[in-house]
This record gives sequence, structure tokens and C-alpha cells, in this order.
Amino acid sequence: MPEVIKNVACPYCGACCDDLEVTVEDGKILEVKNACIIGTEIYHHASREGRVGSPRMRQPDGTYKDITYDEAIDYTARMLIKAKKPLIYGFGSTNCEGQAAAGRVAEEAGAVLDNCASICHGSSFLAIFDTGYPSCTLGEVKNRADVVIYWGSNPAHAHPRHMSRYGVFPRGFFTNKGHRGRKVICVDPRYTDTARCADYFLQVKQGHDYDLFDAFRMVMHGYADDVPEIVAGVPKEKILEVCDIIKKGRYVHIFFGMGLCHSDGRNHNIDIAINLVRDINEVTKCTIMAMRGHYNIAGPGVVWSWQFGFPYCIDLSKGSHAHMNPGETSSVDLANRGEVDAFINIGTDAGAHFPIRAFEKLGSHIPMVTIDPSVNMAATVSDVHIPVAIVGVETGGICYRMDNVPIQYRAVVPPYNGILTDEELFNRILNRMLELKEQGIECDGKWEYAKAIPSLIPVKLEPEA
Amino acid sequence: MAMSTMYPKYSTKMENDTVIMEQRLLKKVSHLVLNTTKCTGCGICSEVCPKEAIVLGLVGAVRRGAVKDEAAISVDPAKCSYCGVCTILCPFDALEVRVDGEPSLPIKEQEGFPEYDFTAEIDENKCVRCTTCSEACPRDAIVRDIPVYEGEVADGAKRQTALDAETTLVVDKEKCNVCGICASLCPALKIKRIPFTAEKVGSAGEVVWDKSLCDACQVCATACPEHAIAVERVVKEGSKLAGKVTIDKETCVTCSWCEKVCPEEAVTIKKFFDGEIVFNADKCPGGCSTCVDICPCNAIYLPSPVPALQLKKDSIEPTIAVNADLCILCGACVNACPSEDVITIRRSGIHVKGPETDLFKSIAAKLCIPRSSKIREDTFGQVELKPLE
Ligand code: SF4
Ligand code: SF4
Repeated sequence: MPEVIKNVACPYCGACCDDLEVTVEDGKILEVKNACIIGTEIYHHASREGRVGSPRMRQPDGTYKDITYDEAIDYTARMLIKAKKPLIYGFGSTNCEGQAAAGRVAEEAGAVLDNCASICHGSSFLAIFDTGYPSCTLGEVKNRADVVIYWGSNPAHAHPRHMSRYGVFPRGFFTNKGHRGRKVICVDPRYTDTARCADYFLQVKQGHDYDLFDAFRMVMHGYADDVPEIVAGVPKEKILEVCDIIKKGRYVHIFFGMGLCHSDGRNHNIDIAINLVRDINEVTKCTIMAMRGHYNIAGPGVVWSWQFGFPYCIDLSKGSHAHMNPGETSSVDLANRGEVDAFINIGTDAGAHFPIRAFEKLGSHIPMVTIDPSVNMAATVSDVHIPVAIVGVETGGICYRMDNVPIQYRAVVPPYNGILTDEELFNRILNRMLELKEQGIECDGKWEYAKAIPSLIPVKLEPEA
Repeated sequence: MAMSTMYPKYSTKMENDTVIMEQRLLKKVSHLVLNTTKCTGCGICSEVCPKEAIVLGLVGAVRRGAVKDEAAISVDPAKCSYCGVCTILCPFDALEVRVDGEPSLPIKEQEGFPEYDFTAEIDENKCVRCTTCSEACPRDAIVRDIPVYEGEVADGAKRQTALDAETTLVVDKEKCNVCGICASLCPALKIKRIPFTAEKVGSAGEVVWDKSLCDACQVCATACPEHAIAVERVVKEGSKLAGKVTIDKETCVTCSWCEKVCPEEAVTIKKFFDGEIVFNADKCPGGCSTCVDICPCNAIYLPSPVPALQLKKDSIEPTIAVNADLCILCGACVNACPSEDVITIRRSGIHVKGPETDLFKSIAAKLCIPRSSKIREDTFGQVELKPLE
């Protein structure tokens, strides 16, 4: 008998849609309702043939051989103890329980603990440290915002149900006319599908958002006359028109994404955006929010802030106190400078999404463990690949939405082949580390299994000495 | 094949802005021509059609331009008798019957059938030829036969020609030292200088004024260092712009926007329908605004949000509202509304002139059935309304 499970939360993007209805029968997922196409695919993926059912270790000839969890955990624990500076990176896609357990492991290992923020909204964090974060929850946007700005973000493709759940179309308490009562403004170099839904589209020159924010701030401060005729490719009259809409709004909200975080200026694009929000608050109400990517990428920021006081790029190698300095202790920087000697890829795919120069230093030169339900690029070059249960599908837990609202995720099917959850796995790694330390294993920078992958052709060869 | 199965032949074709329904007999060809740019989806044609040959389709989508290659109404060319009742009663002048290519209204010619009787007049004496009504009119029915001045287009008529006035400019020759400032400022002034000569060094000559270019603006008088210029203008009592503003009765649909906005109360409109329209905003889901977009009279609006200072739980503005004074009870909103019971229209009378035949009376009774929209219709893709008591 098929069973319909309601109020299921989707483990893909930061919109954390928790209104999914999943039909299951005999531990298989038959149908997913309410999710977007990406979310739907996550569920069907879990029931597909070819899932990895047990840990695997790479052999000298490059093939993989199944090993037991005990062996995989032993390998990982040894690697962490013996390494001088291991890096544990990822966490966008696991629950807070897993992230907390990993925090305890990292502390015991004296590792650097980092999450995907460092290649995503980390620049936003830097700006927030500088200028603050005048934000709100998504319900406020839904119920109050009558001017919504998507600046350098494209929810139509990245957060597919964002516009219909929060930003544009819903009819909220004070926004009873839905999108007809809202003015939607999109700022992007491309005419995206989000721009198609917007009332105003400002086609900013790529990389010139700072200039445009500057012009907006000048207008807000009363210096409209001094704004040049064209700023960042946007005509002055359009800037004035949009500023006028903003000033007349009852509640203005800005959503921003990689257009700001990943382009020239990084954190400064965000800090000027936050300062613009301050300016607008002199006239009307205004809030801002980062379009956080993965469903629980806000989680590590929150969990590790409780644990260590820092959201990401946390260097625990001193043993006694944590240290954070993105640029120094961020994963890509550490990799580029060759400053780590062991790597755990968990709940992410550094293989696919790191710059290749950085990843070749991790994947081909130091021991590497990937903790992931499926085969991804990182897993294909790891020494050990440990499968885990998929959060939101095979295990529940707490996940933080893009506005830092915790959502209770639930499992709809039991874990495939009885595989462990991230939390269980990290707890067992920690216990094994304690055992090994008791046996006298200590940090010596040496490990048994790690070998450079013979078939991997480095993209850039080291210059001959 | 026997003749009887070949004739009459029926066809419908769409060409740019028109849909042409055709009935071809051996010798006679009848056409019903729909102008899709004029059609508003009001559905009066489908209510009045004695043959029930007209149905309403995707009114909102067609009128918003979301659906192309389709009209708001569709007529079955075989059911249609090419009588012309729809042509006579379409308030928007969107339908025409042609017989053998010539406009023809057999029903009016033979049996007699009344036509709308309404008033749409501007009192020429009161009208000051301002621009208000022509800008407010949602149907472009105001004919503003006034010269175009330079305020509107750069090469328009000179502004001083708009006034019926007498302007004089006097130069005090005693004071004027022919400095040339006035002429350098204004195209209406030239200075006719006596050429400079070493024989008699000095500045002499006279100022020549071209009345037709003078705006009586006083700049020359003020700028003259010798206070030698005096400009005066006397405007004739009751001076008005030349020309006339009228209403094109073919295009006018009696919404009365012009009457309501005229600053001089110069317009009289008497509508062709009596009755009432009521919006029950509580039932409107919001976020739709189809009615706003398609109302041919711009009578429907989204109420402005209440400022936060005055905002209370119970003071949230309604999702939708109508200004009944501007509504002509055409019914397009009811046809387009995807909700139920939000909009109700009750026509109580139709103003016509001409013979009120039995046919007309039965049609009038149909037009006066109060109605609202319906969510679930019986026939897919076709508007069906909910008749009310
Ligand atoms: S919008 Fe995001 S959270 Fe919602 S269903 Fe799609 S992927 Fe999942
Ligand atoms: S009254 Fe009907 S047509 Fe108008 S906005 Fe509401 S639902 Fe839409």
C-alpha cells in the first residue's frame, strides 16, 4: 500500500520547502508532490539502482574495493590523528547534528573546519562582520514586502520555488494582492528568467555593482543631481525611477546572490549593499538577505558559532583556542598554498566545484576521504569513500533555512543498505580517535595508505627543481 | 456531388486584426467581420445573438495579449444568420455585417430594430479646450480639434497666437541709446543701426518690433539699461484657444470619465445601460487583476495600501474595487474573472431609440439577467456565467 508522507522538507536549496508530499511503498519513493524539478530529482535519485551500499577503498591499481565501516572509520581516524593539519570541508548538505559531531571530531583532530560558505556566501559573512546584517525571516517578506529586489541572484533557476513561496507571488497578510501589489526589481548583467518576472530590470555591467550601489546611496543621501548620466551601464533616469519606487515602498527587501559574492569586490559589494539598506531605513523599512545555497549551509554557521564562536574557516590546530581568518584559513587558500596534509570532503563535492588548481593539490597529493551518499567527483579520487544516509530522505534532523529559521527535516524511507548517518559516522570516528590515541598513535605526518593517484594527470606540472 | 451539399459554404478566417465569418451561397456572400482590436470581450453579442451563434472564450488571456491568434469571441459561421443584431448592439463597434462586400444591416432595414440612445456632449461655451478629457478617455473618443502649439511639438504654432490679445511695445526714443541688448535677447526685436562712421562716432538707429513674434514677456523691458521699453498686453475678455473639442459618438462608450474630470463641468454623458455593479472583494483571491487589465473603461482599480501609521489588523485595503460611476455595465469583467461571486452586474434598463420590437424585448430581457462568474463551467474553454435572482 503506497503511503503519502506530508510536510516533508526538501534537501536541496536554501528555500528549504517543507510542504512536500512524498508517496512511498516498500521503502521506495514513488512520487513527489510540490517540489520543484530539482527537489523531485533528489528523492527519485535515492531510489535509483546503483547506490553505493558500503564504504570503499581505492586500490593501488585505481579500482575500488568494498571495506567495512570499521575499516573506513579506522582509516579516517588514523589519518586525522597522524596529519599535522587536516582539513574537514563541506557540510552544505547535512543536518546540524552531523555538523556538531564533525565539530567535535575537528576539535579532537586539531583540524581546520570549513564549510561551503568559504566559496559561496563567505564574502557576505565578511561584510556582515564589518557592517551588520539588517535582515528578517522569509515570512516577513511574504507578508509585508511590497518592493522586492533580486540583486545578482536568479531564483528562477537557483531557488526555483523562492519567488512563489516568499518573494514575488504569495499573497501575504498585508500583501493581499500578491505580485500585483509588489514591485519586483532585478539587477543582473543577463536578462534572466527572474528578470522576466520583474517589473524593473537593471542591466548592470558585470563586475560594476559597487558603482551602482554607490549611485543608489547618493540618491538616498540627497545627491541625485550629482549622479552621472550612466552608472555601470544603467541610465540615471532608471536609477532615479527605481529609487523612487524604493522610497515609496512600505517594506523593501533585497535578496542577493553570487552576482555580488563572486564578482570583483566580493565582500565590499555586500557591505555597500548593507549600507544601502541602512540608508533606506531612514525613509522606510528595508531588510536584506543572502540567497544561501544549500538547504543547510546556514547550519554550520550557526552550529559552529555556538561551538567555537566562528561560522567558517575555523583553525583548531592550536588545540586550545580557535582562530578564524578567511584568506588564511579558508579551504581554497590552504589548498592553493599546500598547507594541509589530509582532507575530508563531507556533504559537498570539492572535486567538481573547487578551482582545479586547488583541488589537484588535495585530491592527488594527500590522503583524502569523501563522505557522501553517492559517487561524485571528489569520491572518484578519494582514498576512501564512505556512503551515508541522505538527510531529508533517509534521515531527519534540523536544518537552517536561508533566513536561519530551523526546519525539522524528516526521513521518508530507511537508509539504503543500513548505511550510517553523518552524525553516527562522526561519533564513531571520534571514538576511534580516542581509542587510537590511547594506543599511542600520534601526529607524525605519516600515513599508510595514501599514494599519489597513478592515472591522474596533473593539470599543471610542478616546475622541475 | 449534388449542389445541395456544396452550398451554402461556411468558413472562418483570421487576418491580422480581423476575424471573418463567411456564408457563401450560389450568388450571395455574407460576412460577419470582427475587429479584434476593438473587441473587449464584454459578451453582449453572445447574449443578444438570436441564433446563439456566438460564444466567449479566453477573454482575459486574449485581451492581455497572452494568447495570440485567437479572439475573445468565436462565432459559428453556419449558425449565424448575418442579421446584424450583434453589430447594432456591440457598444464597441467591433462587429460588422457585409453582404456581397457592402456593409448591410438587414434587420434594421426590414423589420426595424432600435439602436442605443445615449448622450455624449461637450458644451462648447463652457469648454476651455483643456487637455484633461482627452487624456482621461480610455477609448480615445475625444476629438480635440485644436491647433498644436509649440508646448507639445517644437515646430507647433507659436504660443502667442493662442491668445486673443492686443500687445503694444513702445520705445522711448529719448532714452534709447541703441545699445542692442533687446535685439540680442529676443527674435521679435531687431535693431536698425545707422552704420558706424569715423565722421560721426556714436551709436544711433532705431528698434524695430515684430508684433507677431512678441510674447509680451517683458524680458526686453527689464533688461534695457535705460528703461526705454514699455510692453503692454490687453487680453480680450473670454479669450479661449481656437478650435473645438467634441466626442466621437461611434467610439464613445459612455463611461463618463470626461464628465467626471472636466474642470469646467462642460460634459454631459448619459449611459446606455442603467443598473449596478458590485464587487465583493472578500471573495477575490488577489494577485489576479484580470478585471483591472481588461476593463474597457478603466473603472476597476487595486486599492492603494494603507500607510503603516494607519494600519491595523482590520484596516488592510481590499484586494479589488470598482468606481461604479465609471462602469458601463458591459460585463467584460464578469466574463474574465476566474473567481465566483466577486463581481455581480445587474442591468435594469437599456436606453434605445427606434422601434422596440418583440425581438428586441426578448433580447433586452436577456441582457437584464443579473450575473456573476462561475468557477467550474460545464463546457471546457467557453465562458459560462452564473445567473442570479
Ligand atoms: S525550491 Fe529548493 S527547497 Fe524548494 S523544492 Fe526546489 S530545490 Fe527543494
Ligand atoms: S475580481 Fe475577479 S478578475 Fe478581478 S482581480 Fe479578483 S479574481 Fe481577478
